Amino acid sequence: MKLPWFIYLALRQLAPSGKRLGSIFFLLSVIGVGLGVAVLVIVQSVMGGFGQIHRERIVDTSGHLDVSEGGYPFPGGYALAEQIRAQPGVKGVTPYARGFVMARSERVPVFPGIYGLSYGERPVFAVDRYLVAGSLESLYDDTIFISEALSRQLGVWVGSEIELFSPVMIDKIQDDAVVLPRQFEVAGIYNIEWNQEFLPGIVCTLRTMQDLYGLEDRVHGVAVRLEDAVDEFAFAADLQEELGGDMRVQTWKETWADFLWVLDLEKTLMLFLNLFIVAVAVFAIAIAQLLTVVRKTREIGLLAVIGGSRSAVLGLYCFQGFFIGFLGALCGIATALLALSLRDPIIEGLSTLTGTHETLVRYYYFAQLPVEIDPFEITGIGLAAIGLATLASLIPAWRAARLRPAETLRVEQ
Amino acid sequence: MTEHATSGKVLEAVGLEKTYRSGQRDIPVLGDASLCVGRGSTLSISGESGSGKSTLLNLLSGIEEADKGEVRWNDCPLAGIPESLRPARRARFLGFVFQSYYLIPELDARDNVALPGRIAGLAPREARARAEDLLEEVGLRERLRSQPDQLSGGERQRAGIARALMNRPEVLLADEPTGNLDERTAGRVMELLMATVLKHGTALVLVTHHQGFASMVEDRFTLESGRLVPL
Repeated sequence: MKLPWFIYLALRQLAPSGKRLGSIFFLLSVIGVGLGVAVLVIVQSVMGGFGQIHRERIVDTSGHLDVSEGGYPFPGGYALAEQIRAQPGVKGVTPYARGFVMARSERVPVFPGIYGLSYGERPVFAVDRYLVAGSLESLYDDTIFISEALSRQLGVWVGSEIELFSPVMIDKIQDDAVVLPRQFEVAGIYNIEWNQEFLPGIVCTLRTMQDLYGLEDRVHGVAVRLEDAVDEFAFAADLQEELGGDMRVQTWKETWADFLWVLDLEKTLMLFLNLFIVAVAVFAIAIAQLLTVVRKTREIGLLAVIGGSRSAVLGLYCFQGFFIGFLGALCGIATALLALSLRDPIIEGLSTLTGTHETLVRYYYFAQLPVEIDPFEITGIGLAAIGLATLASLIPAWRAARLRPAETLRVEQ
Repeated sequence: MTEHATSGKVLEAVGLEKTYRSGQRDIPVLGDASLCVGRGSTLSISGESGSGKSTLLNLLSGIEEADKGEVRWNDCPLAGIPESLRPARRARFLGFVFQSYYLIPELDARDNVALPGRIAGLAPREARARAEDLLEEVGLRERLRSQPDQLSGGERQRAGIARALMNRPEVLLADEPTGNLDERTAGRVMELLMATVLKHGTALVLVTHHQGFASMVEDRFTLESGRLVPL
């Protein structure tokens, strides 16, 4: 392939013969762009990882769809669950009831959320994935699972007994009835790490919850988990049409729309803020290229004299910006991927060195820093860096192309 | 004005005028300067510093516009060649030798010489082969891969001459080509320059202060009050 002469000269100016590492301007510019791109890729991948974890946890604990009558209890929950389960593309269906209770142990009262669920063969809620103590088989009508945070608040563990008061029981107390608290044995402790909101502090059987809330056979809703390939919005629309009436079918993305929006907003804001790092690198390129044009004034004049057109001179310096951006993006992406692959040892080493390992693990779960490496996003960041670097070279290139050869040569002579 | 009767006109300037402006003051440099260069002929232009010698070369090469008058390349008025086509035409028609060599520091001697060829559209391999032949011709066969800063002044100017001949131009414009060299080296470079242009049949317009070198060409002119006067 015949390389245009100005591309050839641009490359030779960046990496002159005899200098294996190229010119210092070139090296510093590439490092600048590389650092900016690396920071962007790392931050976006980590933010994406956090988002991905949150999304997985929502689906793991709430399913893809929620079928309810707007939170009011309704009868026929089991039949509805069977009706939905029979549809193709359904992975699991779980009728549920949820609310709040007062939990007490050793006279310490706490008011956690409670989730009563019918845990069948194909459950929507994969609670067992998050158990840190106990086992799924031990969940009966007189046992409960509690979150690790609640176990710390109440000072209980597996095998301990706690007392629960439901709002129905408290109502009866107000009517001067003698109501004794329900006693439960803690059969398991779960930990969802990032956000306890997705699964409230207590998980029990649906029968227990119906009993506590006086629901009889009514439920608050039916959670539905779909096969991965199923379009949840289309499925929800069809199901809504089929069920009609007061039933409302909502996807998890609609239920958690505000939270997902905040997640996306955080990621976008981080991208926006980190773009300033790339912008600084781009300004550095513009300054370095301007200096180069000033330094090479007579050579630019020479190029015009020996037949180089203005557009070729423009192309020469624009290409240098493009090439700096291209190499910087490549180096930055490679550095970021390397850093991300080594994130756990890096965090482990740093936190151990500073004595903050326990704190990090307890509050931020940094020992398992999640990342989501999105090839499209990384490609976009790389292309943006290349585009900005090329744009940064446009002003110096324009200046070079407008130099009058006669004047540049006269200055020297 | 003189004409090289035996071989026809290759470069012609008629009534060139050029005035520079410095602040409020006009500085006339050339006034009715005319010149005719025959194919394969050699001529020299001398004159005091600031007399307009370099300006004349700039006008002849089309990198600067005259206020008045006309420049013709092979009987074609320069003004008639569109601005966008002029660099390519210049690359084939003219070769330049500069006092300060103007070699590109990032390129070795061979690539410096080959560059005008690549600009003119030669394939890289062909341009390099031709550059090697030219460098051999000027005695730099052993310095093909040397960087400009590894060459002596005389060697740099020899590379400059080879570069000027890369596109087999019809006219070679040399602006004080020995100005930065010692007397002995300058003599060798001038001999080489004369021998080379004669061998290639290239017309030479030599700007020099050196009377001895000026006498090596066929026709001699001096610039006086903006006009070319035969000596």
